[in-house]
Amino acid sequence: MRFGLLIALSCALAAHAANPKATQLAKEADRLYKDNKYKEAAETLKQAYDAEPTALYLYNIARAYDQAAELELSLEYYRKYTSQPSDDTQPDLVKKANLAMDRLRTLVARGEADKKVNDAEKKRLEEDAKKAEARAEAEASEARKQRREFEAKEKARREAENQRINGRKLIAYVTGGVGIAGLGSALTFGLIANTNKEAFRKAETLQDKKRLEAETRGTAAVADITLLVGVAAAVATVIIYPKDGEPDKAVNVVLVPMAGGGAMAGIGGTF
Amino acid sequence: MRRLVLGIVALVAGSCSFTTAGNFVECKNDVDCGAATACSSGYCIPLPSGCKRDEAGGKRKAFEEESRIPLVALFPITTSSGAFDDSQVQSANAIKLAISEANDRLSPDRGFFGLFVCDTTLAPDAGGINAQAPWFITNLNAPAMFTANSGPTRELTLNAVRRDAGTLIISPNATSPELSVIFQEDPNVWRVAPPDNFQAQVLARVLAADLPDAGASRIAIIYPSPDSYGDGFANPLLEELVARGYTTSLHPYTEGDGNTHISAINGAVGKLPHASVIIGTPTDAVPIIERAKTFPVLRRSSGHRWYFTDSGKDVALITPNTITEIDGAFGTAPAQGAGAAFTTFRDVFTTRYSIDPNSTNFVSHSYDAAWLVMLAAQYAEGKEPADRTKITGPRLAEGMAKLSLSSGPATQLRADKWTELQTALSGGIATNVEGSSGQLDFSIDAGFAMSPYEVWQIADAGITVRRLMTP
Repeated sequence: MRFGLLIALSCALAAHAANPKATQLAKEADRLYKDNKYKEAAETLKQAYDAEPTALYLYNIARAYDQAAELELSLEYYRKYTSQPSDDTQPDLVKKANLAMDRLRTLVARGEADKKVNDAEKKRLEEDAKKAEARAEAEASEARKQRREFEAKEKARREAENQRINGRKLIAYVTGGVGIAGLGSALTFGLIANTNKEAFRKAETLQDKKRLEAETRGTAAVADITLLVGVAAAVATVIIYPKDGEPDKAVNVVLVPMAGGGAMAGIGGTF
Repeated sequence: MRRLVLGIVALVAGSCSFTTAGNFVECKNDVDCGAATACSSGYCIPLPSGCKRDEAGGKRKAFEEESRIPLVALFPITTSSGAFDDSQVQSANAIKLAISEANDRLSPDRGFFGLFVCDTTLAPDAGGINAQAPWFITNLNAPAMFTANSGPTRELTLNAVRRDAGTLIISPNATSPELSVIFQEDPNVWRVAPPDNFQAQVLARVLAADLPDAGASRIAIIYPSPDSYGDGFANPLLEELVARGYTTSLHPYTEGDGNTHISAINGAVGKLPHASVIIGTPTDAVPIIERAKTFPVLRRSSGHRWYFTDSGKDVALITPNTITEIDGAFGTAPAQGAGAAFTTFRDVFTTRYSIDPNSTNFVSHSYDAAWLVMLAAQYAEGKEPADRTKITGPRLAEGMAKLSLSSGPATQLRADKWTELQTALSGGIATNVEGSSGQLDFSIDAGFAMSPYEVWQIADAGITVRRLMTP
């Protein structure tokens, strides 16, 4: 095919060498054509045609566009070549041009049909893609929402859990402190009571005996009460202090003084 | 969420304590407390220094009883030389004998008498009698105390604790006339023996009768001073002797002080006495006599005579160094056994303690003193149901007044008479009693009972009572 264009082009150049510019452009176009630069060749030929309106140039423009798959432009220049007969219009070229236009029309028609189908498909695909994107976006949005809700709930739960644990720790620290203070006081007052008791045993007068008995009873009573409080607080501390994975618990500690100098301590646990 | 109440722990401390708030009741009686302690209000209290519980003997053990009524004997049992003063030991024995006889006849609801004996010379640094007596008053509510000798008795009468409590004091041998004056202000200081101004009368009479040389006219009185007994005896004796025409000189010494013994003898030598009266115990009398032997004028071979008072009536006076000087010497003392109950007392005492109460002074007086206090306690308690809390010093003084009746038939203070006397006194009936030492007719104005005196003599390396004399 290319070889055929070249023959035709050479013939034309030989026949219409009146405008050197056109001739030069034609040679340039020929070179571009041979280098498969069909659009550039067509454009160069257009310039040549402008310089010298030779019909052959129109044909060759159409041919170059044909080669460049510019079907509409090729049709246009084939149509110009066939519809504007001139002296240099060659019948065989007109025939070829018509054959070429038939072919091109078919191709254009087919191409348009394909384009329509492709456009429709493309549109459908685009719509599907949009729908999918929208659906995905909605799902993602929902997921994000759920995640945010979950995270919020989880955060609230952790905060509540931390608050509860911290609350129990605080109570445990308080009861622990009370326990330590109670046991410390019990130890201190117990030692004082023992000292008083020892002094009571060694007392040499009735007055000292009575005084030291009263002092011993007083300090011993304080020691007993603080011991009870200390033990109750210590036990409560062990129960109250939170442990990993431990379920909720509730602890009630009750101390009730009794007549006669004693006390009753009650520890109730709800587990 | 399933909720389960898994446990309730209850710790109950009622009347008991986890620690030390119990076991304050240490005793029910004195024996529960061990030695050298007493039980008071459920407490064991160590006795003051020099004091001990002295079980009276007999069937009833007072210190094993919750109803023990404390009586306290404050006697100088140990002499300055560290030996026992036998007269004080026997006086304590006489009190124990009386207590055992009463306890064996008492019922628990009236209480049993428990005797605490304090040696007042053992703990001078701890305060002696002025620490011992208040301790028993404060800690045991002791209602009555037996005291020996005039000085300690006078000292205790002035003790503020004793005065505030009104504790009764009764002394078997405190004979200072000064105590009669004190009795005017404090009518709860009693003496079983009469004051020494009466003994001074008797001794002056003995001396006047005994001095063999009609020309003997100079007499030295060697006596402890300052001392309630010494001063209380020496001055009345001086007056008696001067009244009889004797030239009399006073030569004081300090008890237990050898230097003052020497100075007293040196002073006496300068007066060239024909006779000398030593007022004092053998602790002082023996070194004084030994010192006197170094001066020819005070030797028996030169005609010098020694005379003694009741405090010298002790075999300790007779030593190899003194016997040559004092053999045959006379002394006086409140009469032992001048009462109708003496015979029985002497037999029982001798049987229990294997010693004749006549061998030392004031033994029967001590026995009578104990009887008087215990009978006064029966008055204080009253009739059944008896109330031991009523046995106080002032109530005992009232009881003593009930026993001071001097008219009517006298009931002897003997064990077999206890129930009769207890019934009378608990019923508040005034009773005339007669003891072992005398008739016990107390002077309500002076607080003593008049009794005869004995004249004793050193003979055959011992002491013999020659006769009784009344002032």
